[in-house]
Amino acid sequence: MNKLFLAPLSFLLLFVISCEDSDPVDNKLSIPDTYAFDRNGSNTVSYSGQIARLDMLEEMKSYLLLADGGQQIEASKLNDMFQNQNNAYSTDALNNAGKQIKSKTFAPDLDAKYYENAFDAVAAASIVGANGTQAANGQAGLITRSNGNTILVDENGKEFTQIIEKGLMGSLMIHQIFNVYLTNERIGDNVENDATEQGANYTTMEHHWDEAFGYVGVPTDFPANTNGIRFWGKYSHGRDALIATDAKIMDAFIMGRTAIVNKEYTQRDIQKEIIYEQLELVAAATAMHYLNDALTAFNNGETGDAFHVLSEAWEFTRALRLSPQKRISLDDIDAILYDHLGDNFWDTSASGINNAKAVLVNAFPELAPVQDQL
Amino acid sequence: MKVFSSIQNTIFAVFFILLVSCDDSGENGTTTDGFDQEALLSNLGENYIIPAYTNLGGDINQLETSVAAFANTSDISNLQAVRGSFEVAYKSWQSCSMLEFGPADATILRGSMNIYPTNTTQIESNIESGNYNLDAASNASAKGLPAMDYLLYGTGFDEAEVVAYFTDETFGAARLQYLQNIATDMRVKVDAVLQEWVPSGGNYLDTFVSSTGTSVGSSLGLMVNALMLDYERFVRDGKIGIPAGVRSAGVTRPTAVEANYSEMSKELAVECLNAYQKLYLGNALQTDASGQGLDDYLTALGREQLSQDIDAQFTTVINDLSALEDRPLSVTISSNNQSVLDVYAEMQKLVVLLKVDMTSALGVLISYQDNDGD
Repeated sequence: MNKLFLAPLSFLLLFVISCEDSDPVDNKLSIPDTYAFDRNGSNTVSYSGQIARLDMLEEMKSYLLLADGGQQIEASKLNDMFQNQNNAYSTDALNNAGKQIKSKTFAPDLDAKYYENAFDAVAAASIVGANGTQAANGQAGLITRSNGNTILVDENGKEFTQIIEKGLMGSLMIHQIFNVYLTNERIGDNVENDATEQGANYTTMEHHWDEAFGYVGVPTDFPANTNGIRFWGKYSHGRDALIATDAKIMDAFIMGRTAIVNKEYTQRDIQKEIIYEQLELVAAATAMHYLNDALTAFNNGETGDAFHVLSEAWEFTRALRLSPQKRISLDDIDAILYDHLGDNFWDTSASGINNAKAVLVNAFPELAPVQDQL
Repeated sequence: MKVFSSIQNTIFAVFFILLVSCDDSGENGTTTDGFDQEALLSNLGENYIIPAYTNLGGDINQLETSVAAFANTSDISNLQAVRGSFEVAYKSWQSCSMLEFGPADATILRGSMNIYPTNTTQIESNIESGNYNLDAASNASAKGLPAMDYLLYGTGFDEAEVVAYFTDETFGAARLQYLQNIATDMRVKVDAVLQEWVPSGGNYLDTFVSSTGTSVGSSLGLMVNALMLDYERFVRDGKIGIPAGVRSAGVTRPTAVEANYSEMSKELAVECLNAYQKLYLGNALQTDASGQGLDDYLTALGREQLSQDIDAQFTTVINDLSALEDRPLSVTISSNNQSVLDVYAEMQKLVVLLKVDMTSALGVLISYQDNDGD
């Protein structure tokens, strides 16, 4: 034996490692590091409509924040933003995008006028808020948070801005990903995946997968790059240290898209399942996070903070309704909302919040070890 | 054989590293830094924390008994007895406020005991309606010691007037009932926390002593975070900064002091800082006998100067607080706020020493945030 023995060994080792990663076999596309795909040298990824809707929701939130600051706002403006009419947005790009939020919103919420009613209610409350009316049990108005800012809440302590913005993260984004773009109707085996669409460089199946990805709110090189993350991307990243969803979600989108290019449909479906599971987990873990924040706010006697985070927990819990293969029953979701937290936050108690946490842990056992740290 | 022996060395080295890294906290509680954390934690648990809750439990029980006697015979002598019990209990609370982790956190103890300024409108409306849940968010500032402070001292200019308030034909009985209910609410919560701590009950003491290390979930991590949050928000800001106008652009809020009606604010602040110093030094609550404290930990880490600086700064703050004019803090704030702001500045120095220098020396991460920023 001599040292020369090691040289070929390490060479062999390197070879084995590199083969595993990216050797093109049968002209199959290898899995890229980022969400970047091309055909004949040209990009095939497009989700400008999703970016536009995310931009619209950001602008709607900015408008709602005026009411939190004590200014009067108009329901008509919110409805115009919802339907993208009457040049409601600040840029021509959005006003002329030919895209709107309302037509993509979860139908039962539209039937119940969940958002339209909230627009009317926030506009009415903003009038009393502008008069300096303080919120009380049964009275909509402003309430101060520990950071000194005010928020506008309804007569039950719910913060309009959170109900609308976080609500649409579910009713628009999660709904579109789960119930529209990742369904068999849009990416199933019968969807066109050979010919590219007329005037485009992508197949229909590829494009639908990309549109689902566009609703997540992350850059194509996430999670290595977290600049510009928003909505679900931001909330996944916020809890990532404890639930490790960032890479799983991103890898699943990249691998699923690769599988579509390679026409490996079993693999596509495996990755799709991971997306359903992990995004649902982000919603559950984020609800848990805000319930913990609510307990802290109770401990600190900060009612304004408590209502803010309870409003967030409320909508992240409601988002759990939207998975077609949800791991938590609709009855349990209702129990969290109406039995444990209660429709009137002025009546909510710490024990109710702890009961709500217990229901979540029961449905998502993997949250048990981190239920108090989230 | 040279190759083999170098491979063998490598294997041994790797094995050794694994072995060492697994040995994070040895059988005797010695951590990698050579300090016996279990000795520190058991000293704090047995000689400070459990005695503090035992004291508070006894004093709150006595308060509940005195309140019952006053409800039975509502005269000046019984009012004096209730006030006496109240003052003792409010002082005992000062040794417990900073222990809001583990059982206290789960019970929302601080949120139940000492949220001020108290909401006298809410208290009176609860009494009038007779229909209230003290655990509801709407009653966060209508219970606990501050509510009792108002009821026992703020409902009349002298003892006779206060007695008259409680013997009022229309509302006397309901007022006495409210007084009894808030006393019982406090007693139930303090008892619950004490029972969770003691070895004969939930034995959280054992969990506390055995959770060594400095990670977020370790006892040291939990305790230091609880201390810092309490010190910043409830001691520096709550007792001094907020009434002195530090959080309201210099506009003072004298009636926002702790114990505004009984005018014990300064006394309670001194009591509280004494408790902090005692806990830091690891001294026994009752006897002040010296034991293993955070100061010893810092010294063992080679940070003797820092260890002494913190102790000295505690003494400075205590002396400066004691040296404030001998009249109600609310009056001092109105007449000579600069003297109060000077104490605030000394209290702020302690934040830097504890939150920046001590935590980095100990390797404890401050994991609480004031706000999520959204």
